[in-house]
Amino acid sequence: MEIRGIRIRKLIREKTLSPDALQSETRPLRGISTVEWKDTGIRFLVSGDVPALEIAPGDFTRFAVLGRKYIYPAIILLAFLLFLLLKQPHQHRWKYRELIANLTRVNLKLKYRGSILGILWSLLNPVMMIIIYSIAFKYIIRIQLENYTFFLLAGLLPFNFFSMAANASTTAVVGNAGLLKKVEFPRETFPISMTLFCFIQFLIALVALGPFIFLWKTSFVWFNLLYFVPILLLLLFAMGIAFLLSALTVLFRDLQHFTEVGTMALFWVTPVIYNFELIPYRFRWIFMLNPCTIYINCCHDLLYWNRFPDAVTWIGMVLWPLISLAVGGWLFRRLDPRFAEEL
Amino acid sequence: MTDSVIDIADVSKRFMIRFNPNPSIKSRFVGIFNPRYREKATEFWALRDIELTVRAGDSIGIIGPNGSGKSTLFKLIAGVMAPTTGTIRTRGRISPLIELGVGFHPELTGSENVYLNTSFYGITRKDTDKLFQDILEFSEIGDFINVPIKNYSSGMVMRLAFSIAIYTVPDILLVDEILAVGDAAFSEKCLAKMKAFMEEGRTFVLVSHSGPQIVEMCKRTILLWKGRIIAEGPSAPVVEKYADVLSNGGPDWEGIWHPPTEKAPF
Repeated sequence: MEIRGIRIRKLIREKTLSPDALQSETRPLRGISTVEWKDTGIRFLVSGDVPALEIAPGDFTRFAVLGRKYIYPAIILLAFLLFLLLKQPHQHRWKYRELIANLTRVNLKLKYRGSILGILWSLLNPVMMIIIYSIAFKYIIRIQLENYTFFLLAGLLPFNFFSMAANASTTAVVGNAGLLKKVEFPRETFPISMTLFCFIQFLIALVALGPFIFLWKTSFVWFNLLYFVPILLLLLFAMGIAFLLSALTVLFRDLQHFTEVGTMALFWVTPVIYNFELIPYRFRWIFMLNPCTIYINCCHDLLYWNRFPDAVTWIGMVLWPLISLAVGGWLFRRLDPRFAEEL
Repeated sequence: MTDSVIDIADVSKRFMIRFNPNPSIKSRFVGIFNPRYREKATEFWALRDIELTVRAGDSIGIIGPNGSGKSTLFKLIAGVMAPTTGTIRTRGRISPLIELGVGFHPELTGSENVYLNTSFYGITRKDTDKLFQDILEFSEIGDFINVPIKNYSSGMVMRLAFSIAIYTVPDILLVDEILAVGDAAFSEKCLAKMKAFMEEGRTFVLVSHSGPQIVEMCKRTILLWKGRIIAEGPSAPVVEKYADVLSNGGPDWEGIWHPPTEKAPF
């Protein structure tokens, strides 16, 4: 275990604290919490699995920690919801929600039309993936996690949704060239409906595979129910990315192939099949720059680890959709007039 | 003018014609140093200084030879493209009938396509439910409505597309030579329906090569030649002018030709 924090290093230097004593107490925690040093009654404020501060027993800091744990995320989420409410969609655009729904429905209908198993494929695909990955990483590479299949389930499904949405969105505008050149309606409907199409497939898999967590999950906490929060925020983030990719593919067709390779690479640098704590401490900040890491970590925290995600995770989860929607939306609107001419 | 539904003011449209639309990375890189490998583009003005005002209840024909800018003007009115200079203002809902069954998905059935198509025009599902029976009857498709469009004959696709366009009651109906496809009986029916449509005070724009069709359908016609309006006025004389232009070649640019009027202007 790596130990940071001046106070602790000093204690170790003075041979009053052995790292092992703390090790036995330290669960693989990432959120801010407190850990007790065995036999001493001295508590440490732990950020990640790294103790940072010493807290005297019965210190008020404990309450501050609790407050930070629940109140900050609540404030962040509320601010985000308020922002979405205030930024009311344009009246004229709003009437096209039926078109979005229709396009999504058509996509779903067409995807499996003519196949015998039909919509079941949305389910079989992730099931096969989970079985294969479980075998490969549980029995061959032997990742040391209890209930590994459950761990995989919690993170793989949302990640799959994201990579599917990113790949599908590259063809969202290009693939509808015929329509774009003939009829006038908000072009935003294409990336939006494409993302929703992927999201619905993900929901099907989630609803079908969800009950299986009762096979493995032994303890439940109330915030297990918050699992939908990172999912919905990921949906918004993916939508922003879809705007970006669908608009840029019109100009650079290479992007389609690049996204394919990119999402594959992204899969391995996102803690989906391994847990975040497996990443060496000094590289972690690099991984935290990857937005998917934050969402998947949060999913794991909420469902697998039964721990409340820390403030950094909440801020990141809310910030990324704002960034992607702002940049993607701006770019899409800017390139919109060129679509009919370039295609 | 307050009752104008289409206002085209000083509109020009430029296209950049690229001779090598997909340059390789190599030629892009070499192009930095060697001008021979640089992407070449020329500008092409598809439309020049178009002025047109269409009032509610008008029927306007747009005639001209191939490449005269008819379709470009059409797309500009439909709002699919933006003009390079000038402004286009339209009021009310536009229903463009540009090609057969645009927005139809071949794998979907007729009724599924009806609902998809109306939602492109921003019509809700509930409103479509009300229109559905009329559309079905007018198109005479019958039980084929539950068959994928890919199994339709082209006449059936056209009939369905036309029925949707006319029954969704647009304020402006844009038609691009669509009537050529249907059989005589259905053409009659369409013409009658469109006349009724115009009497309701709705606007109708027809793009065509065919003179007789325009004379029959439109009160006023504009003649496009090399991206400019060279004649404007009542349909019959303008169509004659078009025949003249086709055989003798058009003018370079002499200003808009107006057919002589019988009545003195004062």
